[in-house]
Amino acid sequence: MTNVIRRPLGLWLVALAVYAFLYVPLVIVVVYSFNDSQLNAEWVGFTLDWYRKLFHNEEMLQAAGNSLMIALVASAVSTTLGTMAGFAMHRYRLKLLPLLVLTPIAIPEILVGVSLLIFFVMLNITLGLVSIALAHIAFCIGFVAIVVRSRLSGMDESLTEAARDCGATPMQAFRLVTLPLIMPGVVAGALMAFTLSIDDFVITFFTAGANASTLPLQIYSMIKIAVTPEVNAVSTLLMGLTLLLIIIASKLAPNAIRSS
Amino acid sequence: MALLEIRNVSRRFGDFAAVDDISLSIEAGEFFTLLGPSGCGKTTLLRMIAGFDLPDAGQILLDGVDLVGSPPEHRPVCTVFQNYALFPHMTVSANIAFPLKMAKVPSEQIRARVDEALEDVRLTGFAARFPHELSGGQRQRVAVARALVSRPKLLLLDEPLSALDAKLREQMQIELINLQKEVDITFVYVTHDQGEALALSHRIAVMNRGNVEQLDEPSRIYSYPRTRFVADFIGTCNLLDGAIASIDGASMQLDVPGLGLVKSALPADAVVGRKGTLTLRPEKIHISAEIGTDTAENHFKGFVKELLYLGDVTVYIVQTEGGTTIEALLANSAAGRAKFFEVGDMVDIAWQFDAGHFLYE
Amino acid sequence: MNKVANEVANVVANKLPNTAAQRGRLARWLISGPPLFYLLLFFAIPSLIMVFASVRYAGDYGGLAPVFDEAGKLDLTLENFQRFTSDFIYTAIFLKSLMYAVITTCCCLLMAYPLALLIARSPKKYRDLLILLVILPFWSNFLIRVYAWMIILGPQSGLTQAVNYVLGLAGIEPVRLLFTGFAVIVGLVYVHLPFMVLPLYANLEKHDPALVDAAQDLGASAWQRFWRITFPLSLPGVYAGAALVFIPALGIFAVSDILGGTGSDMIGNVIKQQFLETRDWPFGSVLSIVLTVAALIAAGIAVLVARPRRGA
Repeated sequence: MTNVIRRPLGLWLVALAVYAFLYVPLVIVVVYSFNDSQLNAEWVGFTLDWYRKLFHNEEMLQAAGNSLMIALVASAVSTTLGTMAGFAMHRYRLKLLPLLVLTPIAIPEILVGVSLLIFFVMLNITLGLVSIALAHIAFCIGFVAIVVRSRLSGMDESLTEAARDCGATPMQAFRLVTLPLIMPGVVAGALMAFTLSIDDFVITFFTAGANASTLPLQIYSMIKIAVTPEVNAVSTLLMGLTLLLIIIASKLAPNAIRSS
Repeated sequence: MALLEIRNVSRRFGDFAAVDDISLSIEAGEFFTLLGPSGCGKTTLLRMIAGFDLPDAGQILLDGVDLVGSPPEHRPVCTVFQNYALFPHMTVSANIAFPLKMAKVPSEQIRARVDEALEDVRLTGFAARFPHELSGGQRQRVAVARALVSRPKLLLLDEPLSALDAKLREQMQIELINLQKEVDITFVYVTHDQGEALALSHRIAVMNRGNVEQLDEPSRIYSYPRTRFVADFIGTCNLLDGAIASIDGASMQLDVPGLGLVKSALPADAVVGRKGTLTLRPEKIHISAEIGTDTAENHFKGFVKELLYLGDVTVYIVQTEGGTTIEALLANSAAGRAKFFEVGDMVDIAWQFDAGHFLYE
Repeated sequence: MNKVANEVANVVANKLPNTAAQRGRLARWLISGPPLFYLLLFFAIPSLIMVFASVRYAGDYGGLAPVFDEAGKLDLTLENFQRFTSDFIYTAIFLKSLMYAVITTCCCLLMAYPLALLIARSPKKYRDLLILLVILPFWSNFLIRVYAWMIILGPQSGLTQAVNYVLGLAGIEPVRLLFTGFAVIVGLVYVHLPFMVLPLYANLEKHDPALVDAAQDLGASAWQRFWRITFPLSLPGVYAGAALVFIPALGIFAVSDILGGTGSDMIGNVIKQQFLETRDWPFGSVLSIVLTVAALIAAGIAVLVARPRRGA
């Protein structure tokens, strides 16, 4: 009886409406990617034309390749640095590192993008894939650090003590006991960094320069210049990829995702 | 020479002295217990022996060698943790083999020694299981096996039985006693359970607020507590405060306000007027309906104020004429009667004059 | 190499308090050093450079003029700041951004709260799934989510036609839904909604159901139970969510760029223009500093109100 009172019908309806609000737009994007019409107006017929066009779009494929490469490098480096940061923040009482790690995540992205633009130009670093990767690493470190730190704080401290008690040096204790136990968190952090990098728009926008392009940048110019359902198609593919990565990540570290 | 010597060891956290200038020696082959309430410093002391904490002052010598400066992995000391600390991602045999791997024991030997350790704790056949598949008692035994497999000079146990239920605990206590005799390794045991300490140990150090109040065999700690705290902490005890009224050969008379004149055995350095506490165990007190006449005993009249029927024994709280309440313990062994007295009964309580133990203030 | 690493790292996880301070510190630097160094180089220093850029002149071809002029003298100015304060249009845009961010936060709160409440009170086995369903759209590309609303609010979409039909019945001129401030707000809400749901949910999930039951037992109506028990207890979650929505929304430019018209530019758009089109970097830096200060103030307020009070 109390259950019904605590979750009245009104609440249900509003909640469902919000869910609909969240999903309907995405469903429309996906559906219209198969629509045999230039306009995203009404359903004409089923077609895979837009997907075909996509795979012949040189610029798009190049951008997708760039995104992938950048994401791999960025997630590898930021996972390493982020794990170190997460470990240090958990183990030691630091002031500066947490500040530097968490601020890029807390402030609007545009600020990070703009300041890096000035920085790279000042140092005469040509804007391109490298500058994008460097920028991505900077803001991905924070996410990985948070995930690793929360995984560490959930771990039983006495396990590392027990390892040392059994004769393991601190390095061995870390390698044989701590690392295996936080590994799901590290992997989840890596996947998250990968996804963030592939999806990033704002920071990439400022640090890409004139020549380099990533998938989100391509999508942006398509939206601004000529809207065709190719956008829908690439969006659908991207959503599918992200969904896959999230499913993998959630299998490995169900609570790490929540805590972020 | 003692196996482990603790010399003037102190550990402070800010203003608070967790361990305050403690010195004691532990002999090889002993089952030695650090007993005390939470916060008394017993766990801190244990951690310093293990190497997870360093003393602010003093030395800890194992076989004459100062352990300070030696990290935990280099000390020939192994710990059984309170929550067992079994590595969840390793099997039972991998857990037990871990210290041997760290010591670079050749792998052929490892197998044999792990099997031996499993036999010692009677868990043969559990080698392939993971910790989460084991019960609490089984995990505890794996923790003990892992700590013993490298044949340390000293085994430290930090309240290892506290998470087990009463019946299992009793079982494990007997197993631990036997195990210790079998492997002939010195055990240093930490607990707050005085019954457990009395049952398991060769010697007990009763600790309170960073100090050792008494270091003795269990029976002496029980019968001859040296401080009020020890008397109160170990078992139940009647504590009768009073002053020495007169001395009479081999005995003395105590003036206990609220009770009267109490005859007691004469301790050393007895002086008329000196104040102190008479500690009297409840089981040493007789209760009867008639007044006894034995002059070797103290007799007081009173009535039964409360009683606690515990099945095998009954605790009687008797209020004497003077106003003091005395706790007495009687075994319910008379056939056909559950207990001897009821609330309100007028009774005579008595005890041998040397049944109590006098502590100076 | 391994031996050295081993030796040095021997004190890495060492929590012994009285170890030679030097060795302990070395290990600390080895672990925290690399990420610290990276972030100093690629975050802290660029930020400082940007602050410094706000007092420089703009270069002839855009960008920044040299710090020292031909005579070797320090060539700095405050004119960029003066421009911001004197030319009201920029302040107006900034205030508009604040307004948009506030409206977005409120809308998100109104929409997220019932959802978070429902999920928090659902049986345990469904909760994770329900929350995952909220997060899932978030993991699709940000631009896609904005683009979707381009479709929905576009002139040929079913929604626009329906709205204009109804307006037509009332005798009102047809309106445009896309490229308006309204579209920007819808986009902002859509993009930031999960950020409001999650902290609220995290907070509401921990509420003891007995509290509400007790209130009911004492005679409180459903609304009273909510307003006097549930809502006050959920305030920390509300503040956290508000901060997570307000601060990013303030600095957004893509949403207003895609969904907004000329009248709905936000400060993010102006910053983008200054840096990439007009190429007046000093002035762009000034605007960025204003945005940063606003974000920091908002963050500071969030931290202050979230601090546990007496009895909490």
